Amino acid sequence: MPQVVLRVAKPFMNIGRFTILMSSAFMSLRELKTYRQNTQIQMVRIGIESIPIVALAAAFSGAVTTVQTAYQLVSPLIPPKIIGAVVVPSLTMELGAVVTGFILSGRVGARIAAELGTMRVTEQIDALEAMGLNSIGYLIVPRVLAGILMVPVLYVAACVIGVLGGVAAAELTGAVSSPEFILGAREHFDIFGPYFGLIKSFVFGFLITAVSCHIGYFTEGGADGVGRSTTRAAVMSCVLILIADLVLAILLL
Amino acid sequence: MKINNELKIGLAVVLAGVVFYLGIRFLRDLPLFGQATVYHTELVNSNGLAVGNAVVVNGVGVGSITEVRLILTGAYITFSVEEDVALTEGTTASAGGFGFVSSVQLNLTLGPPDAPVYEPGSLIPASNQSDVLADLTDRAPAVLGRIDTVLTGSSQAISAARDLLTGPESQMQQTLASIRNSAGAFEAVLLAEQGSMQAVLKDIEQLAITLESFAGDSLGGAATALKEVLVRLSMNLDLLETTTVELNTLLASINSGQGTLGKLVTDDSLYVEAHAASAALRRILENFEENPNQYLRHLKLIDFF
Repeated sequence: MPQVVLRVAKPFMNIGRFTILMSSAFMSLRELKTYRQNTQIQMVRIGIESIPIVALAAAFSGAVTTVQTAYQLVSPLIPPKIIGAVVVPSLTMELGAVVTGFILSGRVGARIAAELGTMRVTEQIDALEAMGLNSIGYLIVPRVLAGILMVPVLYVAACVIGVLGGVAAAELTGAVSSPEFILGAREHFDIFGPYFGLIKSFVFGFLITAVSCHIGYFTEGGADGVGRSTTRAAVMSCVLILIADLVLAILLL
Repeated sequence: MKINNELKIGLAVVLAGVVFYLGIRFLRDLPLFGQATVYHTELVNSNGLAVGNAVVVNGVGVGSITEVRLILTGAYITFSVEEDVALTEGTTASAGGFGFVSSVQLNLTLGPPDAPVYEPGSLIPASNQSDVLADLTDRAPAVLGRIDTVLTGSSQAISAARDLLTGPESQMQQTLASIRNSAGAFEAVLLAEQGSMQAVLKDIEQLAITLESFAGDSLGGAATALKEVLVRLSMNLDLLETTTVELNTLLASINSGQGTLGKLVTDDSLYVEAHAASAALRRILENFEENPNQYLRHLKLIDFF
């Protein structure tokens, strides 16, 4: 096949390979009991061990959003409680999910791609297959499932800690008192916001883990290939998070 | 103690679920653990009420809206309020809270406190108050009419002012022309009488010099004499004032009928008698002219004595 045609066809080939990989993974769900322990390990690594960094990022996101909102809303016509009405929906609908997604792209996506890539280039995956184990069920399903289940947990943590960070920043800077902040958040609260964020976090969890698994699983070359896969996994996860964020906003809002 | 993975994951998932549930209830201003009582209401116009909007009693948030459904007669609203808030019969509901920065809310106006409490799930009647937007819509034609009238009046006034200012025969133009003519005539007079005016100014200057010298010599004496005159005038004025008071007293006595003059002024019997006497005297004179001998005879008798 000519080089140009290959270059044009490569994205479509990747999409096709990704679709086949995910189909195989979901077909392997019936074997989940076999890989239960592996799934638990992945849930701890993706979810529990990511809580500190996600909490830190969320707290600062909430605080910075509060300070910047207070800075921009300096007007005698706008009551200070509006800061709460801006910050809380921003966190629940956007920042809580997206910041968590970006953090996990770097932390989890890169790690998954590196793990699977190393296993591929060292032929450990071939060895698993040779032993009669379903490598997709053993390596990919636990990771994707862990991502889908644990990213929403991290999203909830990010929202709560982000709001607390916002309240703390509001009190510390004197922009607005915490009761006023909460009052504004309650007055303008839209119940769909948290559900929208939750839906996003499910999607982001799937995208980060699935794309990273795909890139890592099909790694080529030696250590250099693993490095490239790691970088590609982090970048592709971030890009897909942004695209999915826009698509979901258009579809659901 | 090493915590196994199952416990970690279980704790994280349960905690996240609980926090998510409580967080939503907290932001919806619902009691975190208590039960909320559900009620319904039907509004002709919900004015944008949505699920999650606050339910407010006397400005205090007591719950939130859980469902908004379109019906033929308007909007069917389901809302929950805190369990300890008693909605008594007579309570009404209305949409409110419109503004630039405030969201729409469901306002409840409570009924009398001693009235029976609505059962949970009851239909709370809507307030009869028309909503703000409907009021504005209703008033809009009248307001527009008034604005139209005002604009027409303003336009006429501006037009009249323009005519007054720019019309060739307007009073303003005539006045300005008159002023212009007067100014021209005045200027001509000034030019014509320039010599005379210079002479007058010289005379005034000499007069001023004379007055200055006079002030130096005689003005002091004149001032002293003037002062004496003023003192006398003041004394005379005091006397005049005293006299005026006395005259007022006298006139008051006369008006009240005191004294001879008072009786003369106020009692008309004297006038009647005088009038009668005058009539009698006229008759005597007429009689004298007719029969002078009768009176002369008496005169002769006098002469005789």
